[in-house]
Amino acid sequence: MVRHAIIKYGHFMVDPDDMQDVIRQQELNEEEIERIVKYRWMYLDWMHKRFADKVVKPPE
Amino acid sequence: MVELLSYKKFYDEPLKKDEPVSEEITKDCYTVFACRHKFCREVCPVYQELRNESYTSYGFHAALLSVSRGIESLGNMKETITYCLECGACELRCPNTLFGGDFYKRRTTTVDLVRKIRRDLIAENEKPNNWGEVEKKIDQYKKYYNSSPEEIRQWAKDLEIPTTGDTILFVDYFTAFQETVTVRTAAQILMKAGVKFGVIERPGLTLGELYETNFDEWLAHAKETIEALKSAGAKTVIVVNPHEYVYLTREYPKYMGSLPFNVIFITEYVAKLIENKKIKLTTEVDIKATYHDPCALNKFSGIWESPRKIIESIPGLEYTDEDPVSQWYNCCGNGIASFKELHPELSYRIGTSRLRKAADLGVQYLLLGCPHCKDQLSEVQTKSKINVEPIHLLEIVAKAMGLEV
Amino acid sequence: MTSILKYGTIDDKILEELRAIVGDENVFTEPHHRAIRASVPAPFPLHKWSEHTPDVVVLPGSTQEVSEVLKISNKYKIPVVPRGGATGLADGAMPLRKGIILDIKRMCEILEIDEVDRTVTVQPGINMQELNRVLEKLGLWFPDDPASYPVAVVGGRVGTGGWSLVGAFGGHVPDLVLSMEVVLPTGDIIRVGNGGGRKIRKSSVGYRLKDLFIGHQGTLGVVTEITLDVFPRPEVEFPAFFGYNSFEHAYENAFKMTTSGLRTLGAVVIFDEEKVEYLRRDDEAYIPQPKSIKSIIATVMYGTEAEVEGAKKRLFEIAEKDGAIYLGEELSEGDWASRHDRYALPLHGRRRSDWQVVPMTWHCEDAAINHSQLPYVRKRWHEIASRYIEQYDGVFDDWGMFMYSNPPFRPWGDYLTEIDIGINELALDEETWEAWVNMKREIAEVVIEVEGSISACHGGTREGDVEVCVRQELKDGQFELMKKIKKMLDPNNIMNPGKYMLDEAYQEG
Repeated sequence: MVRHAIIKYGHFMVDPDDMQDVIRQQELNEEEIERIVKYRWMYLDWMHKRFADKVVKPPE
Repeated sequence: MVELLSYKKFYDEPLKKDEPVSEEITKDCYTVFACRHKFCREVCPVYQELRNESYTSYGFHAALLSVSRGIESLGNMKETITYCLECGACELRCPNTLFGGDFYKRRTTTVDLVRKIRRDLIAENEKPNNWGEVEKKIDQYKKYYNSSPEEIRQWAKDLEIPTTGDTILFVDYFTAFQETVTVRTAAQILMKAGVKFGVIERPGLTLGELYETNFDEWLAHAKETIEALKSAGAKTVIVVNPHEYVYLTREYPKYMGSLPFNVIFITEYVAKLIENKKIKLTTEVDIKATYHDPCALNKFSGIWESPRKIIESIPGLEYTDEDPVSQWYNCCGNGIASFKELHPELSYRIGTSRLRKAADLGVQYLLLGCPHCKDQLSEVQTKSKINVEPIHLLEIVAKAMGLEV
Repeated sequence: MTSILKYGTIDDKILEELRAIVGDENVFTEPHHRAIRASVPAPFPLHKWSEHTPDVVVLPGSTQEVSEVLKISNKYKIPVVPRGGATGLADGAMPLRKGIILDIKRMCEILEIDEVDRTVTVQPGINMQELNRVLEKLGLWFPDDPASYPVAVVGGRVGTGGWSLVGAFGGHVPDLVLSMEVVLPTGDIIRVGNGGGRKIRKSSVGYRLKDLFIGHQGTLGVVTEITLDVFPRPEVEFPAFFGYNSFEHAYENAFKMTTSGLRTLGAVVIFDEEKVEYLRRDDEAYIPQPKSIKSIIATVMYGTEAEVEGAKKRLFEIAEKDGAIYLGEELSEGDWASRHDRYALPLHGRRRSDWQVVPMTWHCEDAAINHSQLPYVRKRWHEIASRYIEQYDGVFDDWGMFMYSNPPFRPWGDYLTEIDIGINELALDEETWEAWVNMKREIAEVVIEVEGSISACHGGTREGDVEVCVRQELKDGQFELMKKIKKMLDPNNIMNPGKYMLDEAYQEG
């Protein structure tokens, strides 16, 4: 069930209302969020390289 | 404007020895404990040497959680919490950051927590072994700070740099008094490229040791630095020391809001000057080299491209890359603040491991982007005699420009 | 029944002896060093933390040191719990009787790489990602790939009889161990292998004693050196994720994939409808998927380019003929690469009543289930979970099910079937812990009902599981034999006592 996922700065984000009672969000600005996303894709690319020389593409 | 803000305000509330840990801190520690994947572990340069899981992000969070549950007392953590370089690898590799930090707007902040615990313990007079060395260092820097303007600018005495300008080269006390080659080289490169810049007369102390010892004093210095830069007319501040870059772009905005000028790291600036042909690299530098990503740039600031761009534009240089993600595992061993004073031998071990990795690549030189890395790895190289020479990449740029530094 | 054994107490004299063996710097007694090593990723009874906190932490650096520590433990009758990466999901490294934690992570050297006979010999504390960092430069690959790949260590993988995500291609840990050096509970050092060979892959000589020291959960000794099989590093990887309009739709197509005869298939993984819903909560790859996609199959191929180029076409034919929708390169590649990280973040937890985010740990309840029984098990497991969640909202949460092709070197037949349950350990107390144990027991009993095995990859040692494992799954003489073996090898019951209810071997009455 997708509840309240919102799009902010071009990314999916939790609805801030869902983080009120038990655990709260912190201050995290757009640049820092962009940095995390960039690092994630870098990391995923790196992971592929650890398991094979290359990733092949799907058939046409 | 580069500002990377990640701030948990509830860390500002001090932990006290005989008082319960707040619910917010407990949940914060639990969020790391609950993960228990422990992907923070192998990536930690301290763990790679000691293989002791107490000295990891998971270990610190679980230990504080055990304090919150009355199993441990805070004072007993005073040695354990010193086993952190503050290199940032763990909190970046943590799935809570890398895979959920952006979605939940909540990430793991181990370095902030370590600083906080250290500071709170000092406030409770719980000082770890070797703490005298840290106090000595703080005193030394206070002497630097109280030196005459001539002494502070001794590194640049023949360069005739004004004290005001739109563009300011930020020179901290470490580079002004100790690792002076780096800023001198940076200044000469900028001058040759025709950049008009100034250097402020007397910045405040930016010292990490002070930040995790006496926050109020550190903040007063921070305000003084910002004021000095503002009154010098700074619109752009070029930073040569990655540690200072982190303070300016990540730490100061937490407590002082957006800074009234743009902050740029020297490699970003120089890479642009090369791209715009303001810097011409004409002299061949026939060396085999690899590059060491400084933690403060690679793990905290997202800067890994510009140093590589610069290196690749040096004529004659044969470059072997170790990619930035693999380098999350690396550190020179200096750490961001008090690590080296507290653990000189361990610092040396981490440094030798780093140099050996470079030696394994069959290169003669390890290019650096940070004066602290240079200071540390030069010392390690002299002592260990590992056959790789650490050199700041700006020195190579100067050579390629035909500059005599 | 009463125990015929009494344990000794760790006093200053014993601590001195331990320090003399491993050095002062490798013995820790402060509470936080011990508390950190009380738990593994299985849900931990935080309200009973102290009960599981060991008395002392010892970090040995060599086989000899391990042997000396075990001799002392045996002499003074002190429980010893070996701890590797501490990423096991069956409480293997969680002390039940306090005593010594023997943390073997300092023993992390690669002792030999044999490029001709294709083996690597390592100490138990090395992590697989680190091992592969070295092997990849030589064109070699150790194919063990658990969810804890970036941090688990080889010794723990052996001790738990680990399972690999790409086992259909590269086998699982028990298939990859050629020989081992093991320190027995008495401190004696032995070598076990295929016959007496150190680097031999098949032998008919002697009993298969090597298998005894794989998956024993630290109850029979401590492995101190392991010789492993290594593979050629794959030329290519090909991850492909497909979408289906129902679980049943995916289930039928999975049968065709797993029985296709494609040898490059490393894994076929079904995501059930609850899993896909769960991923839509917060996963950037799944949120934008059309609502009609209710179930998913993830596949991955490894091998030479020539093989995979041919095989991928065949795989797509099988999928598309059944109306599966290929979910694209970005999702397939990105999600495969994030397989270790993405599925179990603490903040995935939700309180159902108001959808508040609740930090929860991840509990992966796994079993080996035959293909024919998957729909029944799925239905029952979700029913059980729902009942407990309804009663304890905000403490438990259903994170859906994965079904992974289970056998080594082939994908057909049975599946590692897991239901992932989120658990808020901060909220645990006596009542909720008991509820949790009951939930696990009910889940495990369904497995026995369909003649499966209650764990394909973690072990059957956890509270809730262990009674079902011992009393039901191993009832036809296996548990009786386990007790005899345990008592023979470990006369004083010092090795990880309490696990697998093996205390019963030492009881009378």
